[in-house]
Amino acid sequence: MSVHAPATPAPPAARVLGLVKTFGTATALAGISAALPPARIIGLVGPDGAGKTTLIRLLAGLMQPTAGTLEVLGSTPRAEGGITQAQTGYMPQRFGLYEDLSVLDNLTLYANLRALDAATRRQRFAQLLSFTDLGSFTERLAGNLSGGMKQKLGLACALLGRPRLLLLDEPGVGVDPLSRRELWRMVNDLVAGGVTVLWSTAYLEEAERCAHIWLLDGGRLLYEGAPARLSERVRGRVFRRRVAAGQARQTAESELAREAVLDAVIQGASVRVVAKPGAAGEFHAGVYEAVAPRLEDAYVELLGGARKGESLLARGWPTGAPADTAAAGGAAAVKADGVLVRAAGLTRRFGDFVAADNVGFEVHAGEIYGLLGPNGAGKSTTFRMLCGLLMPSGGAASVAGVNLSRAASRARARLGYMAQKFSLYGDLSVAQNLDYFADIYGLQRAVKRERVRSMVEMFELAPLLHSNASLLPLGFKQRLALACATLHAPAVLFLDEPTSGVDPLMRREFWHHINALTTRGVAVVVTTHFMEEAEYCDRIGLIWRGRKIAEGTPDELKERVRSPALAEPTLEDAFIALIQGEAA
Amino acid sequence: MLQRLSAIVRKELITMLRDPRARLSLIIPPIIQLFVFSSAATMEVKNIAVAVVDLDRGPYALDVQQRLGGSRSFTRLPRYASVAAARGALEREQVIGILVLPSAFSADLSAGRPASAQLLLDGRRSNAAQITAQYVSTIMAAEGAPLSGAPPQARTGGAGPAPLPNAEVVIDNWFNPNLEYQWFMMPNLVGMLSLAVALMITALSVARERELGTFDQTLVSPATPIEIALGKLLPPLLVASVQATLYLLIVTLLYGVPFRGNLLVFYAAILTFAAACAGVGLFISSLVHTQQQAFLGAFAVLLPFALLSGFATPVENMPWWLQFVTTINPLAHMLRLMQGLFLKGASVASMAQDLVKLLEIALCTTVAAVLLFRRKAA
Repeated sequence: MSVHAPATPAPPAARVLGLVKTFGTATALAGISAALPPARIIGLVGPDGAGKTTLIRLLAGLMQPTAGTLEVLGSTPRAEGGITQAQTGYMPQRFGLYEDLSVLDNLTLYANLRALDAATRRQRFAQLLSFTDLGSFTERLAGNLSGGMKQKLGLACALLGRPRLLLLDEPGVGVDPLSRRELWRMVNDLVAGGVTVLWSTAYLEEAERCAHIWLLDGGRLLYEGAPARLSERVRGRVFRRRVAAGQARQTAESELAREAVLDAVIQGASVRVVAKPGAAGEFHAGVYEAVAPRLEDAYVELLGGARKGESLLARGWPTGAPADTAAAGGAAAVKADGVLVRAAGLTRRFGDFVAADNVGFEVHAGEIYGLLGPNGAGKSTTFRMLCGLLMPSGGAASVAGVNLSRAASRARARLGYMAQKFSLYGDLSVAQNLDYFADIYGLQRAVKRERVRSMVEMFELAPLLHSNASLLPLGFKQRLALACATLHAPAVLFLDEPTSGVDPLMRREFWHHINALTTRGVAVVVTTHFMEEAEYCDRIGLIWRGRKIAEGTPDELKERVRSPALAEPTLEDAFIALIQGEAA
Repeated sequence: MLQRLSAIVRKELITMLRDPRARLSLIIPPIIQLFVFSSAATMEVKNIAVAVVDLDRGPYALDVQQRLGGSRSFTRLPRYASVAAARGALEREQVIGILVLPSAFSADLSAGRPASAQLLLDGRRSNAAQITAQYVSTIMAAEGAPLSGAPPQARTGGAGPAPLPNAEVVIDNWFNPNLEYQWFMMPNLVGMLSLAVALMITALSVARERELGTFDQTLVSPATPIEIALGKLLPPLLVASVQATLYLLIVTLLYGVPFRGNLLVFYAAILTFAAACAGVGLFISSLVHTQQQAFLGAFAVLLPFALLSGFATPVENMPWWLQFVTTINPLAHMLRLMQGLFLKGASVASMAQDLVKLLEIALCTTVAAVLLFRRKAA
C-alpha cells in the first residue's frame, strides 16, 4: 500500500522455517518457510482448507508445530504469557466476540484478560471506540450488531493490548464491500503507526491490495512476495473482448475452448481472456484490447489454467415435461412471458423493523439475477422469501408461475437451492446424499436411477460414493452440493454465496455449469459479496435498508457512477457509490 | 408423500447409526446406566450397622440379636452398655440406629405378656432408616415384641402386636428386600431410559440440522413441514423399541426379574410412551436454535418428569395439585405399566386405563409439536 518500508531494513515481524503441522493423518501445513516484513499489510491468501487458520494459530502461539521453527517478534510464541502474547493481537474468524455481552462488556472482558489498569483502560476504550465509530453503541449486545460492526468490535478487542503484530483470520468473510473498505482504512492507519498486519483471505481482490502476500494452497506456499510481481508474469497476455449484449456467456465458452487460451471469464458485457505463454500474438488488436494483469489471472496460471470442456450437467439436462406433472399448468403459464421468478411488493416485518420493503423484480428463463447489498440490508430476507424459507408479511413470490404462499410444496419442487457452506448431510455418504435428495424431490424410480447415475458420472463422484460427505475435499463438496440441488432439474436455481472460500479454479468450474444451465432455460438467483461473482450476472438488484435502490446490468450500474474522478469504475465502486448516493 | 417421509426417516436413521461411535453411543450408555442405577439403588439397604443396647441379657434378647446378625442386611451389630454410650456412634453416622432391648424383655415374653423394644433411628438418612425400621420390626414381630420410638412411618412396615402363626412366611418375604428393591428399580429404569432417549434424540436433531444448515436444504424441498415433523418423530420410536427389547432381555435374563405381562402391551406401552416423549422433544426443538439450548430445554423437562412420576417419592405423599400434575406426566403412567408388566403380571384390562391415558398424552404432545413446528418452520 502507500506505506513504505523504513530506510534501514528492519528485522521481520515473524519468520517461519520448514513449518509442518499435521492433525492425525491430515497435513495442514507441509513445510512453509517465509518471513513477514514489518509494518506492512501481508495477505495470507488461499482457498478454504489451504492452511491459513493453522498458520495464524501457530503464529499466535495457540498450537505447537509438528516440525520446523517459528519466531514471532524475536521470540518463539508460547501458549502461556510471554512476550508474544502481550504484543500480538489475534482476531479469530467470526471475530471472537461474546454475542450475549454488550460492546462495552466485550471490551472490558478482553481488558481484564490483558490485566489493563483502570487508567490505561479508560484511555484505550476512548481511543478504540472513536477509531471504530462504535461510541454510540456501547450498550448494544454484540449479537445484535451488523456484520461490519461486529468486525470492528472484534478488531477493537484485538487492538486493546497495543499489539505490534495483528493477526486477522478472514476479516472480510461475509462482510459487504462497504464495511470491508472501512476496515481497510482502519488497518492502513495501524500500519502507518508501525503495526504489522497479517490478513488472511480467500478473496484475491483483497490480496491484491496487500503490500506482500503469502499464497497458500493445500498446505504449501505457492508464492511469496509483492502481488504485483506475480501479476507481472502474465503481463501482455491479458485481453478484454467486448461483446454484444447477451453474448458474453457464449463468447466466454468459445474463447475457453481455444487452445491458446488459458482462462476466460465474464466481466459484465465483456470477456476477459488470458493467453497461454507465447500465444499473445493470436489476439488481434481489433477485437482484443490489452488490459492490465490482475493477481487472479496469474493465480489461475499458477494453478494450471481453467478446466476446459463442455458442461455435462447441461448436456444431460432433461428436456420436455418437468418431473412434477402437477406443475404442468405452471409451466404453461411460464411460457407466455418467460418469467420464472416473480417478486411483487415483497415485504417482511420483524416487529417494528421492516427488513424488506416492497421489493419487486422478475427473472426470466436463462437469466442470472444477482441480489447484492450490505449486511443486514434485507438481501437475505428477500432471498429467503423467494425460496420459501420465510413467509412474506406482504406481497407475493412465485417460482415457475406457482405462488409460494399458496402452493408452497409445488412451487418448491421447481426450485433448487444451494447455500454457502454446502449444506450436505455430513454423516451420510455421497450415495446416500444423492439418494435422499432424489427421494425428497419425489423422483420416480427410473428417473432417479438415471439422474443419479449421470450426476455421479459427470462430477466424477464414483470413487467417493461411499465416503462421508463431510470428509470430501472442498471441490467435491461443491460438486456434490450442486448435484443434489439440480437432481430434480429445477426451473430456478437459488444460490446463496455459492463460491465463498473456494479457489478460482473451483469457482470457474462452478460457473461454467451454471452458465451452461442458463442455455437450457434455467433461471438463476444469486446473492454474493464477491464482486467477481457479481460480474457473471445478467442483471443485478441492489438492496439497501430493505428496499431495491438500483437495478441493471453490471455495465449499466458501473455507467451510472462514472465520473471524471472515476473514469473506469469497478462494480465495487458502483456498489459503494450507489449506496452512498442513496444515504446522502 | 410416503416416498418423502420414508426418505427423511431413512436419513435420520442413517445419521444416527452410520457412524460406529454414534451407534455405540445409543446402546452402551443406557446399558451402563441400567447396571449402575440398579446397583446404586440397592446400596443403601446393604451394609447396615445397628447399635444394640441389651439391658435384658435374656434368651429372647439374644435370639433377636442372632436373627439380626443372620440377615444379610446387617453387617455389624456393635454392642453398647447404655443409650448414652451408643449416641456418639449414631451422631458420627457409624450406625443407622440404636436398638434398645429393655431389662424385662425376656421375662415379659416368657410370661406371655406383650413386650416392646425401642429403635432410635438417624432421621438424616431417612430412606435407609425407613428400610432399617422395616427389617427390625419384621424380626421383632416374629418375637412378638412391637417397637417404639421409631419414626411413625416406620411402623407401616407391619410390626404386629403378637406372634402370628404364619410368622415364618412373613419373615421370609421380608428377608429378601434387596431383591425386591432391584425388582422395583429395573422396570422403572426401562421407563426412565426410554424417556431420556426419545426426548433427547428429537430435541437435538432439529437443532443440529439448524446449526449445520441442512435444515434449510430440506425446508426448500417439496417436503411439507408435517412430513418433516413426522420424519423427526418416527425414528426415536424405533430406537426406543430396540432399546426396550435390549432392556427386557437384560432385566429378565441377567437379573432374573420376572416378566409376567403381555408382550404386546409392553411394546404398545413403549411406542406410545416414546411418541409422547418425542412430541415433547420436537416441541422443544421447534423453539430453540442451538443444540445447547435444546439440551438445556430437554433437561428442564426431564427432571420434573422423573420427580413427579413416583420413581423416587410416592405420589401419595405429594400435595393434591402435584398429584394432579402426575396424571398428565407420561412417565407416571409408564412406570405403573412397567411395574404391572414385570412384577404383578397385571391383566390387560387393568392396564388399559394407563395405556389409554398414555395414548391421549402422546396425541396431545405430537399434535401440538407438529402444529408448532409447522408455524415456526414456514
